[in-house]
Amino acid sequence: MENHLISADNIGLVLGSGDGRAEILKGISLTVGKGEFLSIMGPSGAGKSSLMNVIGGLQTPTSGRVFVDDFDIYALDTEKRADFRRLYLGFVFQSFHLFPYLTVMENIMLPMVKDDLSRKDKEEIGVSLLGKVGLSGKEKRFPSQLSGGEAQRVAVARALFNNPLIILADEPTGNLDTKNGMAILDLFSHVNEEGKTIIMITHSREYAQRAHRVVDMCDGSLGGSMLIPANASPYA
Amino acid sequence: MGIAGISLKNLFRRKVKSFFVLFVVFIISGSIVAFTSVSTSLEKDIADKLDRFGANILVVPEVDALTIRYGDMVLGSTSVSGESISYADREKILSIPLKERIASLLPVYYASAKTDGREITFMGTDLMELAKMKPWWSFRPDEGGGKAVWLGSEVSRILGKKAGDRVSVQGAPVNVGGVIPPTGDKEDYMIVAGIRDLWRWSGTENRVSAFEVSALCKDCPVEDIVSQISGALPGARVTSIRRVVETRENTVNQLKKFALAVAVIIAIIGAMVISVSISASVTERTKEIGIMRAIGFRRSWILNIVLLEAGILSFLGALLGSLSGVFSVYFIAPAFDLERVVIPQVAVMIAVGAGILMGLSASFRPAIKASRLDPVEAFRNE
Repeated sequence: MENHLISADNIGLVLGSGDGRAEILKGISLTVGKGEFLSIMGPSGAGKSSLMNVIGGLQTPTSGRVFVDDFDIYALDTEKRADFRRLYLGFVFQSFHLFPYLTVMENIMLPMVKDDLSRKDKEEIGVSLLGKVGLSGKEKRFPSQLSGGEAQRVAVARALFNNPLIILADEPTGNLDTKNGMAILDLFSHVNEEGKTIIMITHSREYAQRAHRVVDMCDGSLGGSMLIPANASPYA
Repeated sequence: MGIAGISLKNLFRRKVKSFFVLFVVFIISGSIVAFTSVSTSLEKDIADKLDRFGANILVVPEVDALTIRYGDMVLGSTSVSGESISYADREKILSIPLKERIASLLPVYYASAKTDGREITFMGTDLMELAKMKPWWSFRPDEGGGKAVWLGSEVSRILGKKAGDRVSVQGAPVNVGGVIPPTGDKEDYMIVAGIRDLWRWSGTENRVSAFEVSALCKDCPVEDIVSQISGALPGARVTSIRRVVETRENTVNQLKKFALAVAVIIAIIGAMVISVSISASVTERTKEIGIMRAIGFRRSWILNIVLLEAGILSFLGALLGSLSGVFSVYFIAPAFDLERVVIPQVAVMIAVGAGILMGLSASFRPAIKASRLDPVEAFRNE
């Protein structure tokens, strides 16, 4: 696991019981290297989001273990796992999931709500991140005053606010048009070049090929892994 | 922006719902203050009135064989034979440790004197104290014009005398200060006079048949007073009139119980309303709480956010409710014929504390529910 930042080992996830029992993940093993950009593709119901939730410490697997930075995240108690998500992970969701009653700046500062940094320091980070995602000057706007593309960029800025090692993006372009989708992908590529590890779920082959590696999922299992040579992945 | 900032933003975002919770706490605290103050004022008022309406301790000479009646109660003897008590004993009674609890002390001396040719029983007493202790007699000692007597209703009828007339007592002319309205008791057949006048007419001095003591006051230890007077006057029989005491205590206790019951009912209903409102607010925010949990909010932070919201509303509601409870008592007081309003400071503090506690405890369950929300489940219900 030397160069592996994430290692999912024989992950199984079963939900429900009796007639409602559903095996969502079937013994999945997956490793993701430090600085890797991984796309997960597959049809709806394949278990992509569930796999991401398990990797993100949101869904305890029925079997198997997940190691991030060499520690077993499900050996942590609930509060420590929340700390892990806050410090190690940045989430980007398809529906942006911004808080409508908070300004852009307040939304992106949310992960640091209890940190020791002064408000001024936080705002400096926020301004810098907004510059990075191309939203300078929009600090005081509310989500309702933003376009979909802008809202998703705010979500990316929020995901980056704690300077996490890993970005988990669940269909981040799903609600965006092609232009805005490509802009988000450009942003991810840029962030990835800065050293962030990215796992992105997408339905789009075109978007998926912006990653170093594409993993296919079907019926709760990994179908195969494809390296994208054009991206010169160092994780072959 | 910290946890408090998120709570405040949430409160302002849901103004109507926030106001509703605040209003419920406002009602709870206001009711506690209003009910407690009104019941305390009523209690004080009743106690004051009962204090004024007659004695509850009777001090008579220690005589075993004879009996006297006070109303329809057998108490002892008014006979002046055997052990006797004197006017000087008044000072002994007024020097007991619980002397401050004695509202009034009425020395009474019974003797007969020839009045307009008839032998009539007189009650000699301290006229000013008598007017204070028995206001239903409509007795005004200052209207007698110097030396005067007041006729019982039957005496007035038999002698054919009324206020302003003159009667002859032991051969001396005396003004009739007034006629005491019928009491249905022994006073109807007596003439009331100043105790010193009666001593002079009966050729005695300092003699007293009984002392009537009014020691009814809030939480008055009547039995302790009886015991202390007995200690001060070993030759006297000191008896508390339990019926008066118990009536007063029962009345006051019933008032207290009623006020408490109403306050408890309001508090229970209020707590349920708060709990339902906060639960609804948490349910509405399921997705938001899920996002917070996903991006790394600890359970305890979510708990703090919800409890802080409830705490802010409860504190404001309790404070404003208690203040308006205090003011409302002054508006309610006339409806209860209260002569004065008593606002127990402890009740105000308890009302503020109870309002906050009620708001927080009613919100605790929904807050726990919020903190335990599974983020994945929250997104699934989106």
